[in-house]
This record gives sequence, C-alpha cells and structure tokens, in this order.
Amino acid sequence: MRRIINKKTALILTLLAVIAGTSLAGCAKDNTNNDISTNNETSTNDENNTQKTEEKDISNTLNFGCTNFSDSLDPSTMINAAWCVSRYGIGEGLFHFDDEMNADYYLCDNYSVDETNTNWVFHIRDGVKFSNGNDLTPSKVVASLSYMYSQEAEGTGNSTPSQYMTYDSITADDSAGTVTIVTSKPYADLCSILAHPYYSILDVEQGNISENPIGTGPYAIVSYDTDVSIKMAANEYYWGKEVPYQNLNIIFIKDTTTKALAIRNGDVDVVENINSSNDLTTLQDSSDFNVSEATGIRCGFSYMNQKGILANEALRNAVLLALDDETMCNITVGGMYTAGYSVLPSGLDYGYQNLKDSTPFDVEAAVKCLDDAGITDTDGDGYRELNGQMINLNYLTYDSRNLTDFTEAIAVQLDSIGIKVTVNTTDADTEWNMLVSGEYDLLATNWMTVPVGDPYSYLDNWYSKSTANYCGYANEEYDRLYEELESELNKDARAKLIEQLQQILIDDAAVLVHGYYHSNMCSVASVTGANIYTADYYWITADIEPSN
Amino acid sequence: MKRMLDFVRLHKQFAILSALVFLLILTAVSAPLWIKISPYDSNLKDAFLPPGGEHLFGTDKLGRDVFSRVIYGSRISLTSSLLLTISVLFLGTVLGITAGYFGGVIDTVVMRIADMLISFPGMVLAIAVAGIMGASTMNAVIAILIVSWTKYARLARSLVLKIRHKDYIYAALTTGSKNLYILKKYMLPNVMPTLIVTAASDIGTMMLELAGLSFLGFGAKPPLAEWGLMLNEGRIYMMDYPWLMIYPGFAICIVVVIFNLLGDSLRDILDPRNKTK
Amino acid sequence: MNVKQLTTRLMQAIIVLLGISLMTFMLTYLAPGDPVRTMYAASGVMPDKETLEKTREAMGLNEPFMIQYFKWLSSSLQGDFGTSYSMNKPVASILMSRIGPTLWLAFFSLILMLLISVPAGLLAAVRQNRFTDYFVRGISFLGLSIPNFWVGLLLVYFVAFKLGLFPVVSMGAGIDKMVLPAVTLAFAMSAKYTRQVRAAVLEELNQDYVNGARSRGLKEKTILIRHVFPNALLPLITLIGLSLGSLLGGTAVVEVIFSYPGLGSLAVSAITAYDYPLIQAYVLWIAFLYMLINLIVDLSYGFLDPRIREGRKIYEKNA
Repeated sequence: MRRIINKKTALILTLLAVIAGTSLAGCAKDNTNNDISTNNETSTNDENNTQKTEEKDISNTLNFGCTNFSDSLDPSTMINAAWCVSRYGIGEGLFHFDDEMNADYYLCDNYSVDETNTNWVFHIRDGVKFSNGNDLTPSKVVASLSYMYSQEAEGTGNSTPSQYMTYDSITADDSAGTVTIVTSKPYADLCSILAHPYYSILDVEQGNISENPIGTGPYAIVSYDTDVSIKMAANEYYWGKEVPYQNLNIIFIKDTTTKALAIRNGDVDVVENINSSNDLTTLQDSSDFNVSEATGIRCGFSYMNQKGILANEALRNAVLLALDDETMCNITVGGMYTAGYSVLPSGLDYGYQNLKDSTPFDVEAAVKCLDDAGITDTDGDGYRELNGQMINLNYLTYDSRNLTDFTEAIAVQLDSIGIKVTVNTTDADTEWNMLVSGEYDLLATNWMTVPVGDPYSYLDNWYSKSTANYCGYANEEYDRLYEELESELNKDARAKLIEQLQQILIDDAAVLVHGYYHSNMCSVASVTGANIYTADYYWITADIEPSN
Repeated sequence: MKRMLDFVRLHKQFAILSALVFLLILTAVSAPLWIKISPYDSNLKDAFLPPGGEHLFGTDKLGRDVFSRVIYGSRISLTSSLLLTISVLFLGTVLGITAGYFGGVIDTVVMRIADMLISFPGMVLAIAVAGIMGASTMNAVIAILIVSWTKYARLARSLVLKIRHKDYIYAALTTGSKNLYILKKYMLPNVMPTLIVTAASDIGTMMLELAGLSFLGFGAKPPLAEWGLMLNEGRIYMMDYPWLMIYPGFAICIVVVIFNLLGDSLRDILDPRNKTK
Repeated sequence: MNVKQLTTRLMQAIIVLLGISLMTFMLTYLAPGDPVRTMYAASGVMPDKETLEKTREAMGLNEPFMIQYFKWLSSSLQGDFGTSYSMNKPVASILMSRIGPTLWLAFFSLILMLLISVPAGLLAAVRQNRFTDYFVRGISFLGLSIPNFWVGLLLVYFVAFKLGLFPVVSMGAGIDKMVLPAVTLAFAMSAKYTRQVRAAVLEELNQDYVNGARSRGLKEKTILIRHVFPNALLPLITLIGLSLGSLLGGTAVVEVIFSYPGLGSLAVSAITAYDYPLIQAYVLWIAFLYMLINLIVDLSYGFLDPRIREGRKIYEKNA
C-alpha cells in the first residue's frame, strides 16, 4: 500500500511538473518569438537587454496606455496602421497640423508651387536622421511615398493615399535636397494633404515595416508583443529636442473603465481618450492628474435614410425637434460631446456662428409637426402611423465613442412622441454593410470631418452623384455648390461655399447631428506636456516629459 | 391533501425552496401590477440618481429606475433559462433515446457529433456560435442549447442501453409492439426521472451562462432589462455609480442560489444514493 | 490500455478533429460578417465595390467552400494557419504568443484551487454534519452560484482599485498580474472541487478497509492521510483534466475583465472581428489540447488505479 501511494504521489507530481514545464516552455517561446532586434544592435539577447535597462533606470520610463487600433504598423496595410505610426511618435510627415488644422513645416522646411497648382517642390529639412542612423534624403522621402502608392496599386495594402492626392510624377534631387511632385490635378493645399498620416516618412528600405517601422520620430520600437504592448526606446538621432524618456511602454487597454482604473492605480502614466465622463471628472478634480481636452474635428451623427420612411420631411423634422441634444451631450454621454446642429464642428472655421438651427429642441413643436402632417396614432397602439403603416425606425449603431448611449437616448425620446425605434447594436463591419446596402432608417457613426484639413471628402456623403451617398439625400443646390467647391482654390471662397452647404443640410433636416467629440489625454502629475491635439494624429511627442 | 402535508413534513427543505421559487415566479409575473415605474420609462435629466427616495435602487444612464429594471429582469432571466433548460432536456432526451434504442448508424452519428461538441470547452463554443449569429437573447439560448444537449443525450442513451436488451423489451417486440410504443411505454419513463433531476439542478448554471453571454455582449440587447446586460452597462460606471453593478449582481446570485438549492434537494428526494446527509 | 486500444483512441481523435475542423470552417463560412468589409470599416475609409471585390479575390474568398476548406486544411497540417484578418500577422505566431500567459494562469489557478478545496473538502468530510461542514458547504454553495464575472468586477473594484494591491491591466504574465484573475477562477472551481473532495472522502470513509484499519487500532489521522486521502484523490484526476482543458481554452469572461492577454480574450476579439483564420485555428487548437489531456488522464488513470493496472497485466499475460 505504502509503495503504491508513493508511486501515485510521484506520478501526480510528475504530471504537475510536466504541466509546469510546458508552461515555462510556452513562455520562453513567447519571448523569443516577439524579439525584434533593434536596428543598430544586431541580434543580442533581447530579453536580457530590456531587463537590464529596466533595472538601470526605471524612473526614466513612461507607460502609455491606449486602445489598440491596429496590430500592423505598416501604414500601407490600412489607415489605422498609418494613424498608429504617427500617434506612437514613430513616423513624421513633411508637414504637421497645428490646432487650427493648418499645416506647419515639419520634415519639409520650405516649399514652392507654380501658378497651376500642380507642380510642387518641397525642400527636405537638413540634418534629419531616421532612428537607425540613416540620413533622411529626398530619395528616401520619394521611396517612402511611392511605397504607399505601389502597395495600394498592387492591392497588397488597404490604405488609399490616392484618395487625397494623385500624382503624375514624384522625383528626388538629393543634391538640391528637394522632392518634386507633379500632381495630376490642381490642389488648393497639398501641404495639408501631406500632413495626413498616409504620407508619414519611413525608411521603407529597411526592416520589417509591420512590426518595426523606422521613422524620424522621437521614439523607436524595441519589441512588439501583438495586442499586448510595445516596448520603445528614445530615438538617439532625433532631430528635435532631446527625447525626455529613455524607455516608453505602450500598453494596450481595451475599455475606457480599465483605462481610468489603470491611471488611477498607477499602472500607466498617460492614457488617451477616457470616454466616460465620470471617470474623467474624477481625474480632473484630483491634483494628482492632469487632463488635457480638446473639441476635436470628429462629428458624431446619424445618417437618415431618405430612401426609406424618412423620405418624409415632416417626420425628419419631428425627429430632430424631439431630441434634446444638450441633455444628451451633457448628461447621457456626460459632456464627452459638445452639442451642435451642423455636420461640421462648431470649433472649425466654417462659419458655424452664421448657421441657423431650423429644428431646435421643442417636443411640442415635434408633436404638432407630426399631427399637422397627418402622422398620427390611428389604431391606438401608442405609436403613430404613416400611410397606414406603423412607424418603426430601424436604428443601427456600434460601440464607438458613446454612440450606443446616443442611440438608446434617442430611442426613448422618440418613443415618448409616439415613434417606435428599434436599436440594433452591431459591429463596425455589419453596420458598414447595412449602410452600403441601405438597410436602415437611422445609422449612427462618427467621422473625421477634416482628415486633410478640409471637409471636401467628408461632404461627399450628401452629394447626390457620389458613390459615397449612402443616405439617398439629393438637393440640386447642394450638388451645384459642391461641384463649385471642387474647382475652387481660394481658401475664403471655399469657406463660404462650405458654410452654404452646411445650411442646406440643416434646412433639409438631412442629418441627425449628435455633437462634436472631445478628445482627451490624461496623465499623472509627475508627467507634463501630455496634450491632446485637435488633429487625432498625434499622441506621443517629445513634449511629454517629467515635470519638476 | 393529507398526503401533501406529509410530503411537506418529510421534505421541509424542498417545500421551503419550492415556495421560494413560487414566490420568485409570482414576483416576476405580477411585476406590472405593483411596480409603478416602468423599467423602460426614462427621463434623461434624472440619470445616475443614487439609491433612495423615489428610486429605491437609483437610476441608470438614461434615468431609468434600476429597481424596476431588476425586478423586470427576473422575467427575462427566468423565462429564458427555463426555456433553455426545457429545450436542452427535450433535445438531449430525444437524441439520446433514439441513439440508444436504434443503435447502428443513428447512434454513431449522434454520438460522434456529441464527441465533437464535448471535445472543447462549452462556453468558448457558445461564444463563437452566439457571436457569429449576432447578439440576441434567442441566439444566446440557441448557442447554449447547441453545446449543452450532449450531456443529456449521453445520459439518456446510457439509461436506455441498460434496459434495451432486457427480456421484456424483446417480448414486447415479438408481440408486435411498435417502436414508438416501446419508446413511450418503457424507454421514456425509464430515463425521465434522472434527466429531470439533472435538468433541475442545471437551471442555475444555465442562468449563469446566459448572463455571462449577455455580459460579454453576445446575448440580450439594449434596452432590454436583462441582468447580465445591466451588469455590462453598469461596469462602465463601476467606480462612481456602483449601484448599477451591485443590484443586478445580487439579483443573479439570489435566484441562482435558490435554483441550485432546489436542484440539490430534488436530487436528495428522488435519488437517495446521492444523499448528502 | 494496450497498443491496439491506443491506436483506436488515436484514430477516433483524428476523426473527431477532422469533424471539428469542418464544423468550424462551415460555421465561419456561413457567418454573416464580411471580413473584407471589416478591414475597411475599421479604418473608417469607404472603398468602392471594385476594391472590395479585388481584395476578396486576393484573399481567396470567392472559391467554392470545399476548395477553401481543403486548401486551409492542407496548409494547417503544415503548421501554416494563414494570416489573421484583423491583426495582419500569421495566426500561428499570434496563438503562440498567447499560449504562455494562458498556461501560466491555468496552472496558477489550479494550484490555488487545490490549496483551497482539498483541505476544505477533507475538513468538511471529517466534520460531517457539524458546524465546519455546514460552513464549508455553505461557502462552496455560494461559490457555485455567484457569476464569476461579478466576482471579477468586485475584485477589480475593491482589491485592485480601492486597496491598490494589484494592477488592473496585465502586460505580459507576471505573478502580480495573475493573482486576481487566478483568484476569480479558483473561486468558482474551488466550490465545485470542495464538494467533490468531500463526497469522495466520505465514500472512502465508508469502505470496509477503513473499518478494518480502525479495528486494528490505527489512529484516525493515519488512516485519513495514508489510506483515505490518496484513494479519494483518484477521481479528482479526471476532473482536473477536464478543468485544465477548459482553462487552457482561455477563460473568456475573466480574461476580458482583467484585460489578461490570454487565449480567451483573443477568442472574443477574433469573434467580434470575424477573423475567420484566427477563430478556426483557435478552435482546432483547443480541441486538440482537450483531446490530448483526456488521453493523458485516461492513461494516468490506468496507472493510478490498482484494479485497472492489475487487469492490464493479466491481459498482457494472456496475450
């Protein structure tokens, strides 16, 4: 008996040991698998290195918590990847947006353009180096830009740089230090377009771009643990100010509550975009944290499908009249949005103050509007009918930037005036399908309004001849002005046209605007300079530094 | 009447628990009669009110009454988990008995499918099925049904196999009884007691799994007052408005405890071998 | 288990694995999501129909079902599970990077569970129908009835946040990052196992040999530790095998709550992103693991149980 027991114990122990062993093996593999040798240190034992640096100087490490939007960092794979390269402080563009969305010189320090607005010459800043020590030459710039276009042309990448700029030729003159772009049509402002993350400059001839893109930004990647974290180190060749942190860890956090918990708990030093107002208020009220907020250039809005029941203008007007935008923005989503009635944010310079809201919040007016139009509840079921059919609006939404909160709040408000709303929360993909196929009445979304400093591509949504006109809205005057906008190169004249376009949309009750999203960046008190910028493209910069 | 009293005296625990379950069902069914505030009535300006006063459990982000939502939540949780349990019981029993009784190809096919389903953790598959079919209470029920019937099928099959080759079955067959008759007359009564006990003690687990799916966003959809979904919504506001998370959680616990206890005591009564005394 | 039985078992396992692979492939094939659109929608850019079609063609999504399946199967057998749609990386390497943390968490929570449930179950059995017994049974009952995601949330709130003892986000797999998820997992499992241990020990205590030992004047403690306990542990092995299987699949709910970088949270994000190659490889991996563990459990059972082992020897002699 005794021997049997011993044998049994031994076997159980062996089993446990085997399990432990496999787990160890798994972990070891895990580490080696994700090693990326840094550019100038060829493959040494990475694990030891990082451990050493961690021990050496823990105080000089910044932990940055953020949502992971792309697992690839090759800007040609998709737009989110391009954004990440820019946001993480890896890649920089020839130009850089300021907080008014004007393009400032960056890697380019001078440019000229001929009178046809097609022949552009950019001078590349001298003395800039990539994080691997290579010089930023005009040829490198051309290689980087051409890479994006060739990936798009071959279909290997999903990024679409040609969406904002198409060119006939792009050439480098290394001795003069210039890059010449001959565009295939005139552009009012190519500099702003080149400030978009699609046109960040990387050393595309070296390395594994998807895991270790090499740029000119303040930080460079050391190792990448997919969907978990990225270890970064200061770029010793950085052309700007001295990089304040030796090490920087990007830690991916999925939801906003955890982000807030993580910074309050001291797990991270900086987090981007906490979108629950109560968490944000708590941080704002505490002297242990800094919060930087900006009314961004994102507009939260719902498409109103004018090929369906919402073709009825009285119904559209009533819907807009019945919604208390102020309360939704300030209480339901807790101030994460600024209420507004135009598709372009009030903070931008497109004449918001001159626009007139034709459907201010007024429940009685909404009810009257419906009654007058004969949209009443005839069968006594509590819901109104239109042409004998009970109105049941199919409202699609997805979980992004408080959109579900808006839709739920809208559903209950419309319910109270006798309009039934069925909310369907789906994922970004399904919503997209439904948008394209027109299987919705209302569809919540949020868009960058001025991705290249100009709302031209965004306003395409309501241009009746566009393939992007998914809501079936058509207005001849709008179309005429929009076509005029395409060829207008004067900035002020453009602004004037855009103002008119906005007013037409408001008067036609064409769009259900929720408001303008505030972005924010929160940091612990020992960190300063963690600012959120108007353009969503910049998160980690050399301005984030230890406070004294 | 007297027999009933005797039964109650003998099985006090069971009687008390049955009364509690009855009370639960009564609460759920009668909710519209005594709850004045509808769980879907909202006043956006009254959002996030703390518990007390007019709103016993406070209000949520749309200013809806949490107490009313928790009580109404019992209607959804009870119906969906009972529906699920009954469907699992039905599907499992039918497939198990058929496989055991007829044997051959049917048996092989059913049992191989069962093998496949049993070869990985149920919750993972349920998430996959619910996630792919899209979120709704019904789809969550179907997803869990797909992964749970195997247990019942195996049980039913083994019970059927125990008597399949008994003399009286052959006797019945030779006297010309139809298969259907034998299934109804001998097989079903043979397997039902055990399966029903198993099902009763599984109600709690089913409820937890359904709530888990809703919590992950693969179950009930807003604005439904469903506990798992309420927990998911409350989670975002956990730090500042903890009541949004505490009350639905308690509700789940209480109901599951009652059903689990009931299952246990039912087992004690019907299956003395497992008596835990 | 002799060689022949083993081969049969292996053959069965392979058939089941094939079936599962076909099933998951079919499930994802029939699913409503369109991966190409997912990729674009995530980026917020509107591609035209032509681009969508081109990408779909390039990804081989236009071919007939069986051809897609066989292509996938043959490359899977060579260790190539394709490229993840949502992460743009080889599926195999994504899975590999998540296995480590999940193994650690599984191991850690199992140990924790055993540390809680074995003493508790033993104590409850020895003190049957006394206060300790009722107390232990009461607690384990609660453990079975409280949703684990609620326990997780409460732990995040009170232990991680209010007391600040542990981090709330997990980066990599350090011990401190595993404590809370492991406790959450162990909590529910302990409840189940405590009941099992208690029942098993009670059954052993009623065996003849215990009475015999008692009559021989052996101390109660000796009987318990030397004889009852090892025998009572035997049935636990099967259960542990099953639990290990589901733990290795990653425990979606708990991993999501604690942002733990394991297989469970990977599965959830793969499903929400309609990332077919990832879902397929994941399910196949879990099925494989589960089967392997079941096989090991069966084999170890043969070694551990004297009755089965003796039977095998006789069989071998006859053969």
